Amino acid sequence: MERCQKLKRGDRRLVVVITKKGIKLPYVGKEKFAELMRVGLRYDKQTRMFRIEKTEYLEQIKNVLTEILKEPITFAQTCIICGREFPCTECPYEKICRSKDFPSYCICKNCLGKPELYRLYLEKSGKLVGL
Amino acid sequence: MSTSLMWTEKYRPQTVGEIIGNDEAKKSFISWLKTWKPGVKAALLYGPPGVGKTTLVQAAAKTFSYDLIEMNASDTRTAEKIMRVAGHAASEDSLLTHFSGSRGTLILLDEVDGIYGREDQGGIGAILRLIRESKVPIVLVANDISDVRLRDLKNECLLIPFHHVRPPLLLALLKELCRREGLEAEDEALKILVNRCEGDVRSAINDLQSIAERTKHIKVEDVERLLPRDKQITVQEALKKIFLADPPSEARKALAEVNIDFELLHQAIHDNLPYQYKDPEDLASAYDALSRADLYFGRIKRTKDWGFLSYALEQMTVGVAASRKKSYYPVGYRFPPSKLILLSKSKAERELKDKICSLIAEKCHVSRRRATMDFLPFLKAIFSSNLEEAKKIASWLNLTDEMVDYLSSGKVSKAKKR
Ligand SMILES: Nc1ncnc2c1ncn2[C@@H]1O[C@H](COP(=O)(O)OP(=O)(O)OP(=O)(O)O)[C@@H](O)[C@H]1O
Ligand SMILES: [Mg+2]
Ligand SMILES: [Zn+2]
Repeated sequence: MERCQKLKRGDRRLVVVITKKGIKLPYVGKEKFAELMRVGLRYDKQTRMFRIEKTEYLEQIKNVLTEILKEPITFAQTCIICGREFPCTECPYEKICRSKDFPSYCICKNCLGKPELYRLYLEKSGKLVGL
Repeated sequence: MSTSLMWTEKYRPQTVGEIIGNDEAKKSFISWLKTWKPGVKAALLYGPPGVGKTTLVQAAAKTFSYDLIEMNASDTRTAEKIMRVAGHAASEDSLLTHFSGSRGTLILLDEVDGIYGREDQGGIGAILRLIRESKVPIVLVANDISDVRLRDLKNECLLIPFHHVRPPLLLALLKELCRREGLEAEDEALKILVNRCEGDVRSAINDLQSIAERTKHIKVEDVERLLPRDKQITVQEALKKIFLADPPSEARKALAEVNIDFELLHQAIHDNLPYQYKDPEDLASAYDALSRADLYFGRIKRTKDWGFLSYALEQMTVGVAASRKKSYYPVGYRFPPSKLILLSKSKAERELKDKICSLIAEKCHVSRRRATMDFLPFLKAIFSSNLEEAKKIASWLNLTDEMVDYLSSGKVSKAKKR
């Protein structure tokens, strides 16, 4: 599990952050494996990691992984400006965000202060979207 | 204010490259559009209001040179009409359009979730036929697709979800608008504005404009002075607020913002609980809270002591929220009979309706909920079609003239005048 970061969320609990690369899990058994596939995870034989392919059943993904890891989990955001992955817990706007924790593109705290952020965002977004 | 003076129109993105947020959605929509050929599914864009769903389709048509045919599914009265307008375009040979430099036609059917609010049943069938036979790409747009009636449609579409636009992006846009309009704004003021708009870009722009009409130097007080947003939250949103409230005390807010009968809301919570709370213990404890609420409702009815109301409401909101020990993602909430119960009706009309329902409940020995859901639509049908029968019922139920008017949509009083 070396690739997933643990961090303090408030003072309440530890959270495991699931990044784009995915997550390494201890041996889960056939049934759990099938369940993981059902809720939208895919197993990469090369990296031996489970990665989120579909975000339709995020809640179920959260539940199964929490069961396996015995720790609450969260999904990483990808900074559209610098490409860094980060959890919502580090964002100064976490409290007022209505779609927090949904794994998506966003802007990380290091990039928030960049000059001409709006123009920069549109440029990056255009590339990503395929314009 | 004319629409051209509205900033939401003035700054409506003209190209896909100006739309902020929902990058995954933009990406999959563009790649769908670029690769579409007959036989490929239609696209269904769905998500909360004011985040750019309609704008994306319009801007993409411009960016990629399509002739856009826009229809509003909830305005289009009949299935035939959909077929007539869109069916023609959908079967049209696009050779001609190619000569004009256009890539062909793109059909936008907006607000498809409004379609089943109308009486004609064929609407969804017509859309299904249209997308199966279409020679041109079709995009459907909706807010909420959790209704079972949209199931078949969903199966035949590429689903593209939209989410609330995130604060950093909204802030960047608002700052840009301030720059273009020559406004100065305190960071904190913009942050409050963003919080207030809950990821809805349209509201954010509207709010900024209304503040700018008073001052060019926007301070925290200016934002705070804005009237509370006319919330019009749907039952679904209220349920979400209750089920996912964090901390649980936040669940209380749902009550102030949703406009349905409290008992109806109680029923909606009851019906949706098993879909939301997966853990049996959470579920059991939430049901306990609901039955305590029920007890208080019963007491209110017997004793007419409304003092119990606050206990009942506390149980069905905070009680239910506090039962949740695990965390869940929101699911598609179900709420019959129609998807949306908006605050749009006037308070007076609501009160009138409530009074009618209590009369029905009393006379027919049914719950208020039954009265609202089953009896009221039935009475409305009779009152607007059979005046003789309506008179009998009116006197049996002791309805006032005002109530009769409401039920008959004014038909009875018009008949009297004649
Ligand atoms: N993502 C966005 N980027 C820039 N402007 C936006 C965005 N979303 C909305 N707007 C602004 O809000 C207005 C309304 O947006 P639009 O009609 O596309 O919303 P919608 O998602 O279709 O909402 P609804 O569900 O209510 O139909 C646009 O004219 C534009 O000014
Ligand atoms: Mg729209
Ligand atoms: Zn960054």
